[in-house]
Amino acid sequence: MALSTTFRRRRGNAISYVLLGILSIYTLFPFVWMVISSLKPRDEIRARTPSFIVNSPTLDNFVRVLVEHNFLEYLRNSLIVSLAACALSLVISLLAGYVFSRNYRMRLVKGTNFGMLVSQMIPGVLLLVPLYITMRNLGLLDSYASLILAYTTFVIPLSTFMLASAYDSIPMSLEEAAEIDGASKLKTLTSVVLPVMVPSIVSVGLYSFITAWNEFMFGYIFISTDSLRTITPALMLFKGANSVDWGGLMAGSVIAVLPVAIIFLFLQRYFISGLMSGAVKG
Amino acid sequence: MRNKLALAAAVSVVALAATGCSASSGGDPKTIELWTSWSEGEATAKTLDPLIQEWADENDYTVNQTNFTYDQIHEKLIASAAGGNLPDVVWGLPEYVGEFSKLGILADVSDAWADWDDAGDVSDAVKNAMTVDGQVIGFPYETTARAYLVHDDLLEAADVDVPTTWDEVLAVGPKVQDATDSSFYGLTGAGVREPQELLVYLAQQGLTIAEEQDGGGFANTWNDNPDELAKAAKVFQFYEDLLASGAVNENSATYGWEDTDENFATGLTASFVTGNWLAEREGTNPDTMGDVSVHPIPYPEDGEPATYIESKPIFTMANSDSLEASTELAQQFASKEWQEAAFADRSSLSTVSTDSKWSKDFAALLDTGVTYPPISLGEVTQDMIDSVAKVLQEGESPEEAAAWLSDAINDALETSGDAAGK
Amino acid sequence: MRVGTVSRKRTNRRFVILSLSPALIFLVVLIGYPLVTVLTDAFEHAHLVNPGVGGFAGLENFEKVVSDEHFFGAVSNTIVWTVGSVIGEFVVGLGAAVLLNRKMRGQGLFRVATFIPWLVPIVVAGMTWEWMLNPDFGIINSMLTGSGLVESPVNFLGDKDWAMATVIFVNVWRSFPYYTISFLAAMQAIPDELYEAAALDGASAWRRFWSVTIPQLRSVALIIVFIHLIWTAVNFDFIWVLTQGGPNYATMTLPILIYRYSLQQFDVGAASALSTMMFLGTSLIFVVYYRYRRRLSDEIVG
Repeated sequence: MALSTTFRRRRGNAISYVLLGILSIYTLFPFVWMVISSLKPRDEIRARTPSFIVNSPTLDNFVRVLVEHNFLEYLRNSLIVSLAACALSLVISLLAGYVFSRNYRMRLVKGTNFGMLVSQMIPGVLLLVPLYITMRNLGLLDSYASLILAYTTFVIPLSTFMLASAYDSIPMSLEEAAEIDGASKLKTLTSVVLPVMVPSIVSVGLYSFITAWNEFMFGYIFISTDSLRTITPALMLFKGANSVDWGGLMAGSVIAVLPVAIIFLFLQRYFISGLMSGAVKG
Repeated sequence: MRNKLALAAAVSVVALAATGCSASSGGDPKTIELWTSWSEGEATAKTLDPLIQEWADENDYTVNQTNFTYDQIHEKLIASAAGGNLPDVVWGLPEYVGEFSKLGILADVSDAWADWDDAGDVSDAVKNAMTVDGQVIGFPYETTARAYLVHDDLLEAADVDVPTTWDEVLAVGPKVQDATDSSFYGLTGAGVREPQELLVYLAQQGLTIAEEQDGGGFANTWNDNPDELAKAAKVFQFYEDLLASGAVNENSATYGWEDTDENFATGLTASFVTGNWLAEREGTNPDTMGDVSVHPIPYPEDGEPATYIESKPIFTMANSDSLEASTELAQQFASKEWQEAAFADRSSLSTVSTDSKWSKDFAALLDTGVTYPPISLGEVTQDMIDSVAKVLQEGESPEEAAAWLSDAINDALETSGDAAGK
Repeated sequence: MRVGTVSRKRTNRRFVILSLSPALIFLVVLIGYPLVTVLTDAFEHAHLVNPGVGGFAGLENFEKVVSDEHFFGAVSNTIVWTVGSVIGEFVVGLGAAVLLNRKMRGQGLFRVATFIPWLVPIVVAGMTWEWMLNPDFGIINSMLTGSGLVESPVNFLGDKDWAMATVIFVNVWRSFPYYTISFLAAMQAIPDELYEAAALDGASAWRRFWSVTIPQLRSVALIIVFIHLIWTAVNFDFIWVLTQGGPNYATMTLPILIYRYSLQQFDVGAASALSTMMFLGTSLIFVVYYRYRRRLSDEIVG
C-alpha cells in the first residue's frame, strides 16, 4: 500500500471540501446578494456601482414588509396550501407508485402511466382558462381548495414516477414474506415496504411542498382576496408599474425562503445512509 | 399504523381547508369588488383607503379592495371574462382599452360622463383615449405626459445647451459622451415603453400607427402613401443615427424602462424621455438627481412637437350587479376631491396640480400629447418593438423597417377584428 | 389451489384499481377537460374569451403556426434550451449528490446551501439574476471588469450571442438541486455490502463509483432526465421572467410562442395547434423512456 487509508480519506475530504466550496458559491451567490440588498437603505440599494458592502445596514425593509405588507398572513396561507398539497399528493402517489412498480404489465397501469406523462406536456398558459372554468364550476374559486387541488394535480405524476422507481429498488422478497404470513396487500405496503422508503418519501414530499410553495400563476389567477393570497404572487407586487421596490422585494424573498430552508435543514438528515442496508440484510 | 394516521391527517387538512376558507362575495349587489394596482404603503394607497371607506359608508355598500400588478390584472380579467366571474371596478391601462372593449366586458359610462361636473376639466385627448366606437368606457384616474429630463450638471460639464431638435441631439451626443463618461440620450429598445416612444417620434412626423377609415375600422396607410412612408423611414433613420452616432448607449437596443430609468437616475445617461414618477428617485439617488430640469421632447425640424399621454382608465364591468354604484365609485377616482388627495401630480383634471416641476412642467406638455388609437394593441405593440429591432439589431434599412411595420400592423388589425371593412 | 389463485388475482386487481383511482380522479377531472380542449381547439377557430368565434378550421391553424417567421427559430431554440439545460442539470446534480453523500463535518449545512436555488421563487430568482447580470449595474459585471478578467461589461441577457447560454446557466442553477435530492435518496438504497465487496476486489473509489453507484441510479436517473426533458421543453415562466423571449427572439421558445398566440392575439386555435405539435415531439421522448423503463423493470421485478 503506497498511501495509507487515512491519508487517502483526508485527501478525499480536502478535495470534497474545495469542490463543495465552489458549488456553494455558485448556489449561494444570488441569495447572499439578496440578503445583503435587503439590509440596504433606500439610497444605497440602487447605487451606481454595486457593492457587497452595506454602509448603513437597516432592518427597515423587513419591518415594512412584515407590517405594511401582511407578509405573515401570506406565509401562513402558503404553509397551509403547500402542506395540504404535499400530504394529499403523497398519499395518492404512494399508492399509485406502488402499483406502477409491481404491476407495470397491466393495461390499466400502462394507460395511467401514459396519461400522467401527457398531463405534463400541457403548457401552463393553456391550462389557465379551462382550469379557471373548472374551479368556478366546482365553486372553489377564491379558496384554499382551488390551489390545493391544482397543485396536487401538477405534482402527482412526477411523485408517482419517483416513488415507483424507489419501490423498484426494494426487492419483492420482503413483500412475499409478509404475504406468506397472511398479510393483506395494504398491510404489507404500510408496515413492511414504506418504512424502508423513508428517504424517497422525504425527497418526494419536499418536491411537492416546494413546487406548491413556489407556484405563482394560479396563485394570483384563482385568488382575488388579499387574506387568502400566497406568498409568491405577493412578491410580484413589489414590481410596480413604474418602479421596483427592491428593498421590499429582497426582504420579502428572504422571508419567503427561510421557513422552507429551515424545514429542509431539519429533514435532510433523513438522507443518511444505512437506513436501507438493515432491512435488506434481514 | 403510521400511514393510517398520516392518511387521516391529510384528509382532515384538506377538508378543513376546503370548507373553512372560501371568500367570494357571491354576486351580492351590496358588495363591490374593486381591483387596484397601487404601491402598497405608499402615499397613494394611504390617502385612497380612507376615501374609499368613506364612500362605502355613505352609500351603504361594502367595497372589497384587492391590490395586484397590472399584468396580473390583465390575465385575471381575461380568465374572469372567460369564466364569467368578473369583478365590479378595475384599474386599467390605456393598452387594455381596445382589447377589453372588444371582449364586450366594459360598461358604457357615456351617460355618467355627461352628468359629470368635472368633465369639462378633462382634455379631449384624454377622453378620446377611453372612447371606443363613440362609447366612453372608463374614467381617467391618472394622466401623465412624457417629458425630456436633463441632468443640467452633466450638460454644463460638456458645455452644451439643451437640444430641441433631432439634429441637435445627434450633434451633441458625442460631445457629452467624451466630456462626462455618461451617454447622452436615453432610448428604450424593448418592453412596453418602446412602442410609447416610437409613437411619439412618429407623431412628431405627423404619422399615426392606425387611422380610422370612413365606414369604420382602422388601417395603417403608409404603404399606400409614399409621402407617409418616407416620413416613417425618417423616424427609423433617427433610431439608427442615435445608435450609430454614439448619442445613446450601445446596449440601448435591448433596454427596457427599468434600464433607462435606472441609467438616468444614477447619472449614467445625461438625458432622456420619461414620466414624472422619476420624482421618487430624488430620494433614492440624491447625489445624482439633484440637477434635473424638465423640457419638451426634441422633435425634427420639419416636424411638430409631440409627447405621449398615458391616461389610465378605471373600468366598470358591464355585467356588474351593482352597475350604478360601481360606476359612481369609478367616477369618484377621477373626481376633483380624490384627484387632489391621491393623484395631485398626475391628474387628468386641468384644475388639479402641484407646484413642483414634476407636476407643472409635465402638465404643460399635455396639449401636444398623443395616445394610442382604440384598437387591440397586443400584437401591434409587439410589431412596433420588432420593427425597431430590425433597424437596431438586424441591420435592416429604415425604409424596409417602415414598410414591414405598415404591413404587420395591418395584419394585426385583421386578426383582432379592427381592420376596415369588417 | 386453483380457487386460491383466482381469488388472489381478483384481490390483486381490486387493489390495483383502488390504488390508482385517486390519482385517476384528479387527472381526469382537472387535466382531462383542458387536454380535450387543446386537442379539439387545434382544429378549430377559437378565441380565448369570445365563444362567438368558432367553426372547423382543418389544418389552418397548423399552417399558420408553421409559416410564422419565428417558428423554426423557436424550434431550434427549444431544442438547445432543453438539451443544454438537462445536460447541465444532470452533471451538476449528480456531482453534487456524490459530494454530499460523503460523511463529513458540515454535511447538513452544505446540503442546505446546495438546495437554496430550488427554494428561491422563480420570479425573485429571475429578477435577482437579471439585476446581477446587468451590464451597467450588475455586481457580476462589476466584479469581472474590476478584477480585469474582461475589458468591458458583458451584456449577458441583452446580447444575442450570450442570451441563450446565460438563460441555460441560470436554469441549471435553479433546477439541479432536485436531481441532487433524488440521487441522494437513491444512493441510500445502495447496500453497503456492494461497496465492501468491490473494495475487497481492489477497486479504487472511482471504479467503485462507476460499477456500483451508477448502475443503481439508473432507474431514478431515467425518470428525472425524461421528466425534465418534457418540463424544460414546455416551460414558459422561467425564460419569460428573464428575457421575455428576447433579445429580439434569441431566447424565444415554443411555449413563449404559445403564450403570444394565446394571450396577445387571443388565438387559441393556433396556440392549441402548436401545443399539439409539441405533444407529438414530447410523446417521442415518452416512447423512448417507456422502452428503457420496461427493460429496467424486467430486470428488477423479474
